[in-house]
Amino acid sequence: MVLLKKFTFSPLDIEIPERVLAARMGFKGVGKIPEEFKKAYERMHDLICDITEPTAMVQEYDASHENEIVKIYNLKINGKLASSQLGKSVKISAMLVSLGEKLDDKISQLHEEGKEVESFFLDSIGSELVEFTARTVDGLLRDNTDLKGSARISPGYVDLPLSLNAWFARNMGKEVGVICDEESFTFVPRKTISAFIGWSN
Amino acid sequence: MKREELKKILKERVLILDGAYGTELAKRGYEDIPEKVLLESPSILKKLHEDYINSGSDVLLTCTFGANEVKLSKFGLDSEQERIVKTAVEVAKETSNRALIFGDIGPTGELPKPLGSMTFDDYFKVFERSASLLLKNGVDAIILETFTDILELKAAVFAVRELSREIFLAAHLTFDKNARTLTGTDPMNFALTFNDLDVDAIGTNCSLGPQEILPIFEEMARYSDKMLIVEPDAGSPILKNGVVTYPIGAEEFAFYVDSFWESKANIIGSCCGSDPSYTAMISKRVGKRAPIIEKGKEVFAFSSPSDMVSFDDFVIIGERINPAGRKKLQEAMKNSDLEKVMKIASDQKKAKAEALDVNFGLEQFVSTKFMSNTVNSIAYNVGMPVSLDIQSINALEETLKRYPARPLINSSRVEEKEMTLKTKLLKKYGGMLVVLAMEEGVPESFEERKKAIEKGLKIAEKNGIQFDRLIFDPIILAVGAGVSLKETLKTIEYIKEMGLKSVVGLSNVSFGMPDRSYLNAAFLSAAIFYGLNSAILNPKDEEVMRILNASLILNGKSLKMSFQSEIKESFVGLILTGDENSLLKRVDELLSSKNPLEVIDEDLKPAMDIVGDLYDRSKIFLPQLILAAQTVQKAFEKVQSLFKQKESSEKFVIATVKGDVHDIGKNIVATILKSSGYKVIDLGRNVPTEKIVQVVIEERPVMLGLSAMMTTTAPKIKETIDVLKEKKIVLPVVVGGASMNEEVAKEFGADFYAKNATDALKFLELVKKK
Repeated sequence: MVLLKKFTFSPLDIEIPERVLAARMGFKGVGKIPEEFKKAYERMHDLICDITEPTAMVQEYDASHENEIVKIYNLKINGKLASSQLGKSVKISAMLVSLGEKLDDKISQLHEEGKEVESFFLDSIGSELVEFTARTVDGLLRDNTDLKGSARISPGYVDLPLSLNAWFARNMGKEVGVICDEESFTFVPRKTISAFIGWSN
Repeated sequence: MKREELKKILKERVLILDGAYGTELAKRGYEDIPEKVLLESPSILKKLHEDYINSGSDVLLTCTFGANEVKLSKFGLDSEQERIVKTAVEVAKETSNRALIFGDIGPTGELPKPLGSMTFDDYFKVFERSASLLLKNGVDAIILETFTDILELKAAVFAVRELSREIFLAAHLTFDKNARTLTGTDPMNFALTFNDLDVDAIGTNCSLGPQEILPIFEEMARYSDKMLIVEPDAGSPILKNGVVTYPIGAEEFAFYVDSFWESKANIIGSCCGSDPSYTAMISKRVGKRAPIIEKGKEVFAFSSPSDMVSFDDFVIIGERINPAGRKKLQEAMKNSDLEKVMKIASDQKKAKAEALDVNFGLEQFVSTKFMSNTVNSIAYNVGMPVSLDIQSINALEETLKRYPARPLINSSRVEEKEMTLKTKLLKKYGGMLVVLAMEEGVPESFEERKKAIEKGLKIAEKNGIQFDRLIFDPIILAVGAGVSLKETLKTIEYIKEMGLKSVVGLSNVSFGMPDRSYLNAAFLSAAIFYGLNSAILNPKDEEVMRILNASLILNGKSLKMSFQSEIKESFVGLILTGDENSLLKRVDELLSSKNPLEVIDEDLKPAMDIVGDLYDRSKIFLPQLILAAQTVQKAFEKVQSLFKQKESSEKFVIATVKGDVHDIGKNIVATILKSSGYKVIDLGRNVPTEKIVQVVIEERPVMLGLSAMMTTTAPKIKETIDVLKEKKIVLPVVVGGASMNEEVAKEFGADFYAKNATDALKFLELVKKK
């Protein structure tokens, strides 16, 4: 059985810890965050709030298992990571989260204008915003079930093949405006995350 | 449970550790120390354990964090230690419902020598007793939590392992916002030092909320090969409607679970300010996930508590603590004259050595205790990593065991028996080893050295020592002996090609020759071209240092810059290196042309301002700050002896409030203020409000300092300030301690919040100006 859920957020509702952003923007991560990072973050965060609408699509599938392979609907997921995290799942959620194409356009525009620092910072905040949107959705899913969730695992991580991105785009891309390049398996728009969460008793 | 069984579980699942005990008991209305609450009403602890279990905790901590002799004696409970541990384990077992029980051991609250009064052996004895009681009563693991010093933690590890090799053992340090422990250790140093030791997991807990602890945990995880545990506080405490609260809620806290998991956490829990609702949220977020298993990054490095040198940069190891041909130094060592050795250590540091090779010459005349004290004083006070050039196996073992970080052992030949013995020491006590590219006889050809290196690698592998813990010495023979140095250079190149690191004892090349500096410098330049990573040399030899710098630049490298490059004032240099005699001489010179007040205002105080600034910017750490304070204090005393009786307006009264026995921070403030010329009246710890007020009335100080570490005792600060106000005593009050922050200080009616000793000094100066 496949269940579909769609989540739409205001970027202002997605809280990203300051230190996470500072680390993403090149600050090594320990000690006091320099003021210049904070100022840059605030400026770029205002901009990102104007041009993104974080959206997530979640499909829930019954899971079955054959040897080390996890099966859902029309897909076989194999490998060490899938086996360790999804191995005992009775259900699996597939999640596609995206910030939309306007952010890509702005990052490119700033780059073309020679504003490399702004372009880089916007890109960095975008990466964290999409990650923390995924975490928010992850939390909402956990709040609404009595099952125990696995870690959220994404294609390209450890041995989970990046080619699975094509499956995500085919199954859910239309609803969130995401397509996948069938050669490189990267998403358009760039700030898009795909992931599985396994649910067990 | 056996450690291998628990390790197996942890390889499959991330486990949930319970939350706070002290702060949660206080929230529930029990303000005594948890161990006392346990003794008087075990059912209260039982209920808290049950709440954690019902919230999804897989692991319960026994209520024994403060149940060591040193801490219990401060509350008059030391005679109850056995009963406390027995009851704590029983209560945990009764409620565990198949959850694991970790026997909790906290620090003594006392600093190690030379900063405080405790030796490695004192710590060892205290923790051996605590661990034996926990093991006797049957726990699944032992966890050493909230330690502030790496030597104390190391002693606790050895104490536990002395009693059991079968128990799962976890070791934690607690870090401040600058990612340093109280005595200056950073997460990378902690991870590398403890990679070598027989612990199953390392971790960090307390002091910081999840956002602040995350980068520290990530740094530890980057370099650690052990399992990992994290337990942040629920943020820094704040005062809300008269009650101390923690700002990070359970939901926000649990948001960080993904980040900790991504950083390889095997166990996630929460510390001060949390309660069972946090455990429930963490449990929900963790769900049923397997941990990420990934080896730490390979680093060739050795360390002191506050500094680490990596052979990725060129490392200068100072050679001058070696009495060969220096009768006076040998005599000083024989007489256990630490001051003389420390003076040389400081001089070598000033001359840009990054680490020190310590050789005691005729060891039969030098006590092992002196060797260990010397090495630890260099590591703590001078802050430099040490290369232990000790020949006696017994003395080497004793010194190695007590070394407060990751040392370098210099050296071992590739002779089966000798190298096996030394790799065994390395395996047991940690550290790195210099391996000489020679078996029994001195090798003449490159081929012989290559063969020795290959054999050395095999012996290390057989004894379970990773190659990143070995540094190879290609062997320099004296040029006067007529042997071609090309063989040494080829060996350096071979070591580099193998992905290994090399070190040479530079002065050997010129032994017995005239113009030694030039010969040393010329050979060093060639060796750097072939890929040399480090040299044991005299950094005071300017010719060698100039050529070294030039050679590194020509090879696209540079020397690691130390904070010394920022210190232009030689006066500051004398203070920082603890060179008391030279400092007093310098003060005498100044007094011949200035009056005493000018010396204080223009020289001593500005110098301490620079020292304080270096500390604030994490360029020096607590051990160096204390050493500087103690050194400059002598200069202040000398100058002040020339004044008449001091005015009462320069007095400062300080106390740790009633119910609180944590006084390390208070003691540091007192030392720093004394060193700046103030008369400090230190009332000690656990001081009743009435006594503080009475002393203030009698002494009429310029300012009052109050500290509290625990949130349960923090309200006593407010009580004291309120009483002062009632009695219409107008006096600026500065407050500090782990339970305090800017906001709480303001709520309590304090005038200043000092996050450290240098802050307290700044506020005192400010008050005086007004």
